[in-house]
Amino acid sequence: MSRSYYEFFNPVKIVSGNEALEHIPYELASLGVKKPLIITDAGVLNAGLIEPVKRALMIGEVPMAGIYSDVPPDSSTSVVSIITQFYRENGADGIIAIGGGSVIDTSKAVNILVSEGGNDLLAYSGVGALTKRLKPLFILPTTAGTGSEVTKVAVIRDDASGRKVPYGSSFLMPDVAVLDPRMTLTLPPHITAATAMDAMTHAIEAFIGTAKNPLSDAYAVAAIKGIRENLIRVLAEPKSKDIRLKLAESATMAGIAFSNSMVGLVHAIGHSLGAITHLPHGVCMSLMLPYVLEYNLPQCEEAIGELLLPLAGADFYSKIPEERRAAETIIYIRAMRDELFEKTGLPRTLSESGKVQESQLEDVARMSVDDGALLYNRVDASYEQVLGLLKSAW
Amino acid sequence: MSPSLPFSWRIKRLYVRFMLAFIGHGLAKACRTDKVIQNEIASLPDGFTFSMSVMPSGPCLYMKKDNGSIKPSRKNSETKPDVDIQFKHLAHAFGTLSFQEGTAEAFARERMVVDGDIPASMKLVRCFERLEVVTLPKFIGRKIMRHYPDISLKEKLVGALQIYLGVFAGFVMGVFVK
Ligand SMILES: NC(=O)c1ccc[n+]([C@@H]2O[C@H](COP(=O)([O-])OP(=O)(O)OC[C@H]3O[C@@H](n4cnc5c(N)ncnc54)[C@H](O)[C@@H]3O)[C@@H](O)[C@H]2O)c1
Ligand SMILES: [Fe+2]
Repeated sequence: MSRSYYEFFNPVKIVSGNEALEHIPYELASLGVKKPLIITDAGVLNAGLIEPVKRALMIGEVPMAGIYSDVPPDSSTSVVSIITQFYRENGADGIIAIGGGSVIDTSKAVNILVSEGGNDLLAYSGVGALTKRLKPLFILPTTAGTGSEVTKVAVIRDDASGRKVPYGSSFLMPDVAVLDPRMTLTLPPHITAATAMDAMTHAIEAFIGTAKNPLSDAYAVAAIKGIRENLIRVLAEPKSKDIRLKLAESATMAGIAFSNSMVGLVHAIGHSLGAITHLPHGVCMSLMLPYVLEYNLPQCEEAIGELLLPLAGADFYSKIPEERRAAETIIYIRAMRDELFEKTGLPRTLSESGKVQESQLEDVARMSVDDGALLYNRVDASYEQVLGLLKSAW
Repeated sequence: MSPSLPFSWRIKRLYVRFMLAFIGHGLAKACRTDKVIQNEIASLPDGFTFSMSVMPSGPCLYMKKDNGSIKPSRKNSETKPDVDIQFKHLAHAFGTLSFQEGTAEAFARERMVVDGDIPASMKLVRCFERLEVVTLPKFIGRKIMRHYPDISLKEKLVGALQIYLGVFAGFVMGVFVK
């Protein structure tokens, strides 16, 4: 008998679509929140994205505890402390996070301290340290990428040691994720492309990894289809609310998929590449994706072949014989990257990024084999093999 | 141990306890005799500790690195180990330690909870897999591992003999896990 077994969990209420922001007052009231604190960053604030939220709250007669808008890209324990203090001083009783992965991770960490009390975030690091529900957390993603609005992890740098410390608990998941097309309309083309390729990678790695399961597969396939149908289109029509919303929904579905099935070698390498070279996460994903798929091909041929259907559509898929499908999937992804390079400058190779030195590759490879995501890749990889992959992506 | 535990589960529990001790003494020996394991353990700091246990109350293996080598030791209940690996149930510990399920599969199926230093736990996973390569018959290793490395019969037999002797010596010295 097969020993197959899986777990699937997604308790986040998804509030999605036209005028979704206007549903926030009702949702806040249902959770007993009377005075929420908004957490965001300067980029999101300057793009004017806080205005429609403020208006929706004002008309819904919800007073705010305040707006904290200084979350840096590489958030740390001291930032979390400052926001925690701000929350307490202003008598907030819930959090509305508006931003990309950086703001979302920071807000999850703030929620730990404001719920558990004290100021020692590190005491809650790792898994299993949180044992009860936290304060109500609302997440409004403004990038269609990380899927962090439906995941149970946050990564925050510890100022004392400089280490990136993971926090993992189902209690970190928000109560509500709000997808409103107005939130991603202003996303510049290169960030749109990079973050969407992050989401694409989440779905692909969830679908071909060791922890894949029928439920996460359904989300992954739907996400891939949504991204390929809408990513190139959105670059031509960046102000289309419908397309923006579809992309946001796809990124959330990809988040649900990988939150339950984990990610693999693209992320193992991408995390290290990002940490060492400071290339944005989505850029690392897009860069490494086809090379890792080729590496995984011998063990994942069937799963990679199945991806051709959501990627290329039924017409094309049905014309390709089964034994060619996996190879065609990779060709399709390469073509997509070429198009993104042409339209947004999203780099396809490490040298094209202009931000990586060849001398850094060994450190990246060393760090990659110690990344937990590697365990969920169907093909194991040694230091030498990762270095080989990085060289081929040069 | 609850007296009402059925006999077959008492045997499984005993087996799990034995295998944890085997891993403990095997790793202690191999970090002196096996190149691969030596390298992995060398990159961990002195004072490094890890625990591998079965929920809710054992059996439990606890190891500590001191003066460059890693050894089974008594659990210090005050401090959290640097890496804490807990099987959620005796059945899962038995499934993994009786090689019906490989390490990567056990992770994919969420049979255990891993807390603490992730890079260090990846090094430990490589040590466990190496221990399996050296001490298990090839047909079993191949079945449960994502990648079975090239290893000559001589390297395997000599390595296995050394580790089995180390484990035997460990048992003779009377160090068993709780
Ligand atoms: N917790 C998780 O599950 C998880 C998963 C993946 C990544 N992450 C984290 O997410 C972070 C990356 O997140 P990201 O890719 O969303 O980028 P980000 O949050 O760092 O945002 C990138 C930039 O885009 C700007 N921006 C965001 N939305 C905008 C909009 N709508 N209009 C104009 N500008 C906008 C921001 O101000 C910022 O300058 C990393 O720190 C990573 O560690 C977390
Ligand atoms: Fe990602």
